[in-house]
Amino acid sequence: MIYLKNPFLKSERQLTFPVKNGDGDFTSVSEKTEENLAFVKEKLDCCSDVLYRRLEIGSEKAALVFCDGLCNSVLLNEGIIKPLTEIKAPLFTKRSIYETVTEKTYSGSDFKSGENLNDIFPFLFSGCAILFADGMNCFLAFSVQGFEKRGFEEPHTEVQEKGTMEGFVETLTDNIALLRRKLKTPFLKTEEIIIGSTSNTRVAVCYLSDRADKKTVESIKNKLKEIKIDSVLSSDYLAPYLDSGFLSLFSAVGRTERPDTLCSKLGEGRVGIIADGSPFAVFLPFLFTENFQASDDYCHRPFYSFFIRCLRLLCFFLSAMLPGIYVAVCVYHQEVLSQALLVEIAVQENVTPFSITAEALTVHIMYEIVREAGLRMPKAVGHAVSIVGALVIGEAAVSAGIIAAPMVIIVALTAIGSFVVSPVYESVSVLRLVFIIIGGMSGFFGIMLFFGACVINICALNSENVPFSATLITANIGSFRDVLFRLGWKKLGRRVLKIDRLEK
Amino acid sequence: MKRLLIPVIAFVFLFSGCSRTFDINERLIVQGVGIDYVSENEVEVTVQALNTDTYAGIGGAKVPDKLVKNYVLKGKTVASALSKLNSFSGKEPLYTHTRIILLGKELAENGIKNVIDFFSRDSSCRASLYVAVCDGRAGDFLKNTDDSQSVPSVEIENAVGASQFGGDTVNVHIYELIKMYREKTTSAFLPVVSLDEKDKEKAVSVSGTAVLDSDRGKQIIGESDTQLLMLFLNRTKYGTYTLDSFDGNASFDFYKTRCRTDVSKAIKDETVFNVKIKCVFDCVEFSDKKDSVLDGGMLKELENLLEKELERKMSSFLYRMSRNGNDCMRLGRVLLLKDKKQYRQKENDWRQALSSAGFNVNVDVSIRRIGQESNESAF
Amino acid sequence: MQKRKIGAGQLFCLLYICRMLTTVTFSPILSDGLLSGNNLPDIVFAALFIFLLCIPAYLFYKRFPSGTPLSVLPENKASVPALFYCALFLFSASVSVSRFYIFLTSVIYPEKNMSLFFVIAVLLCVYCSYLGIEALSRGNVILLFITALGTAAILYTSADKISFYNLEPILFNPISDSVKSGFFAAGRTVEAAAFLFLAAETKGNIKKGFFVCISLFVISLLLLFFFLGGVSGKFAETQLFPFYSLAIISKFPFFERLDAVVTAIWIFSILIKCSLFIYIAGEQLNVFSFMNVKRSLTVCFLIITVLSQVFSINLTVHKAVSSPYVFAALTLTGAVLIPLAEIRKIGKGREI
Repeated sequence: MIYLKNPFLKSERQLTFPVKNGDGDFTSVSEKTEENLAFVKEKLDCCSDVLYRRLEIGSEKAALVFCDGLCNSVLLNEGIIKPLTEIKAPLFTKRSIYETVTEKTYSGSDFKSGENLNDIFPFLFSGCAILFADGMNCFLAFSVQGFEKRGFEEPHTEVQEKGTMEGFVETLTDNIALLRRKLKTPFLKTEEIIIGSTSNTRVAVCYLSDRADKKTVESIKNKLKEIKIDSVLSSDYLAPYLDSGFLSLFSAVGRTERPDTLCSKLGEGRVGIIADGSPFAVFLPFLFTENFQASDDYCHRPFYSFFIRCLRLLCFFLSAMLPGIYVAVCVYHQEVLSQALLVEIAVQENVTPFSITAEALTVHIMYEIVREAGLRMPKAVGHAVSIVGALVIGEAAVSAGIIAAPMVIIVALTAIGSFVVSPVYESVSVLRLVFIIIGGMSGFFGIMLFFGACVINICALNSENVPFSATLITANIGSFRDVLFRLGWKKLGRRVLKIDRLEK
Repeated sequence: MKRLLIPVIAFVFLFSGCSRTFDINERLIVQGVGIDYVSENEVEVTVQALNTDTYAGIGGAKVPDKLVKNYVLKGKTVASALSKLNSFSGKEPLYTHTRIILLGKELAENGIKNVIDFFSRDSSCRASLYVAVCDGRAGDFLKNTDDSQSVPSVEIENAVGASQFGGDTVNVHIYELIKMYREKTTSAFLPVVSLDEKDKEKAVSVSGTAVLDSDRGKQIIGESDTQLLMLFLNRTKYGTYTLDSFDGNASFDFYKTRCRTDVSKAIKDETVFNVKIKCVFDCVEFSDKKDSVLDGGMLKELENLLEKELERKMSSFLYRMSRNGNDCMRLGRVLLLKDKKQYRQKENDWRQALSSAGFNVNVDVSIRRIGQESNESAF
Repeated sequence: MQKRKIGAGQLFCLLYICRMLTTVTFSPILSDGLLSGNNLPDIVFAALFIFLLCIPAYLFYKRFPSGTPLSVLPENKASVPALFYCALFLFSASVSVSRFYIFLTSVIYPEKNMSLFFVIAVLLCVYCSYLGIEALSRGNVILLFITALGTAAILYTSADKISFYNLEPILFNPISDSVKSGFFAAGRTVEAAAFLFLAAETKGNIKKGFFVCISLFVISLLLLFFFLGGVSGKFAETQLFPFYSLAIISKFPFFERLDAVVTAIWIFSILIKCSLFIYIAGEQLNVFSFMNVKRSLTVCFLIITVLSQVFSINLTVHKAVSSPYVFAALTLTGAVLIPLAEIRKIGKGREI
């Protein structure tokens, strides 16, 4: 329910535009509780998790509607039901009921009201309790969320050695709270937009108003508002709408699971987007070289950070191009290899039944299968996959002469290298296969040609009017202070690095 | 644009593989090529290649017992002979790792220009490939092995390549040979490889330098003359020089050498070359009957002896070579660079002009180090 | 697609790499004996003539800072120059591609049919042109860096083989021969005409960039030919592609052959040059109302594919089309005569 805040959950329906911020159908709240309840029950029939609690406030009839499992029952009972039922006053005017309930009785800190009956559903399915009362021409939504949620854990996808151990969770409120704890400044703005006609997902646009370019913020907000989508179940659903318009294997939208990373990006004037229900945040503008940076680079000493970043860059090229280059060299350019290596490879490849190109493709696809199996399968059988993978690919295939030992080494290097640059893993795994095919078809020249075209394709990408390849091509020496080499904090912290949009 | 791009790429990738390509295991890795003269219209080419025929086994592929295979082919030209290699071996030859081209003695005497052309024209052959003349039949040299795990081409290449360490033998790459041919006045030279048989073991060594007249072998010079030639051409990086005119044993390692040649104005149409050689030596061996101490005075004496001996030897070498009309010292190029007018007058009849040339040789020697022993000899 | 101006540095990096491609792929056998590669006075005169050749283009820029040779003309008179410039750039790109084709099929893959590979190569160039001048100029900076590193590696590893005796004496040949060689070598500088069209899309200090680029190019030219002559000597005259042969001679301790570096340099340069010239040619075709971006790029793709195949049928045909006389005539017309005529005829005070 918290993902799909829509009364039509039980059945398939055609996509309509989401009800958000007062848009869409308007059904005014009646002053009679029964009429309101009838409307809600009609909309929410066959919803067994929606509960109705009739009560009397003084002598006026009222009713609470809430979702079982989403509300904190103690807070609901003690904070709402009990104080309301204890009111013994006689007849009230409309204003008096509203005042009494909101100011005198309810001890909770957060509530909202609304006059459109269709607006109750996002609140209801976010864990709020909805109150209707006779004589009140609006509903009240009390924030009594009590659903089970995941605690702050170490991020699974961005493991750091020295950085913080907190990662985003699925709850938007908690994620924003994490940002607030790190950036204790009034300039941190979090604007909410509802996206998704069925899911009505809350999406927060976060930025520092004294750093972020106003045009960038407006542009991102406009793009988000124009999104026509059924459900937003993750921040990554929004990324294509924010990405550069060019077809490319690389994305010009950054992703992170770490609040410290997002905070550092916000500090540079970028804009972060967090969707409710997703532990990942996306941010813009994003630069290509940031794929090779990690937040604990700033915790290490600069010379080590430099070394590690160079290593990541090397791993990127290794994992993307090494298999293709190996195939190209073995098929077309044997002169590049030294004598000993040439003989060794020739001897090993002599017994295999497949051509080198086919062998490379087969092995890499087998690796991807094993990797995908390891990702999806239950943990209980994890050992079986690793044993099968190691034995089948490593030992048995080589002994049987199906694949050659050098190819196994290449795959191993490639695989390890691709884990080092996990932000671009998707791009690298596809590029790898493309390079293998190109290397087998046209050798080193095809690889170089395609590499050149990839470089130009990367350079064509703009991330919110900032070149995706900005840090690779700038003539400004100061821009290189945190690309491969990182200056020490004494110099790096002196002034804020701001990202400027391109002028026309 | 995208709709056009993807089908075209797919089409090209599907069909561009339909052409001749060879995987690494389908290649015959040629290590050495020996060319021998059979008759005016026939050459015999011996190709030595690595044996990569393997079989699968526990732990991977098994290496064969015999490391090389030799193929003997005949043809009118080198290219026609080598074209038969595919049918003999069943593999496509790969010349990129060829280590050496060995030319038979008889071939060298009859002319080598026509056989070299294939290796300079073929794109897979490296321009830095070594070329050498052998003292016998090239095929015999390549087949010379008692050990099934040795590769004779590698041994010959090592012997030729080691000249940089000895300082008394040359090594010549293909591109250098072609460069020498193209220079109108220069006589090309090649190292001469010979087989020394001692105690039933045959060892390959470089025994001299063959000087070519046009493309035919004319003269073979020994190691001492080759050392002087290397010195003159500024190709001496390492090497040991033994002082003959010393009453005892005195050997010196070359540390630094520099040779400059100038041309004086011609007197009576005679070209005079002024050769200035500067050598810095390290003493590596010194002993005499008087048990002399290697002090400053002795060093001075040795330097004087070295200077005189080198002057004498170099002058003699230059005169002998020039009188024979051999310009492996590239004196024609020196004249071209220093005195164009004289060169223009003499370039068409350079052999004659060279034979009447005069030489002034001046050698300046200094001894830099004398090793660990400072004063008295250990003995 | 939003069109933004590129920086002056990016512009001149583009022109530099295009011109260096012509230098690195020069062939004494295909240049009618005009440039042997071992005669430094030829190179000095070539550098001088290149500088002189670029001056009219610079003067045109000074006179019409945001104009091109087509935009300053009335619409009804622009079609013929548009076709001429389109033909010039497509011809130059086709010759470069066909030369690379000859290189691949002579030196690397003598037995393989590379036609389809070249179709896709040209297609990739068209795609890169489609991405725009911004993407090209940014990508060029990265590729130029790789190219410069590769070239430096080749020169460094061959430095110990330099011998002054391999060089030809200065002014051994009559000076008129050197002037002639230099002039026709400079005649291949189609980049001067490209500058006329790209300067309008550039921001920044173009004057400084112009002189820095010319100076760097002259230094590069002298350095490359000095190394070529000093290492290879007469050997270079016998080679179809002397710089490639120089790379074969060079040797790193752990690399057998550095010629892969030369071919990578060549490919990157071809990609940039071809894409740039297709981009400019496409812009010329947009003068015609029935043409749009996609159509003009498609036409350019077809023309270059066909021409490059025709030009590389055999060495005789390639020698004829890549003749220095042909290039000199085209470049002089496009980079000197037309701009000077326009500067002279179009009066002052005319707003562009």
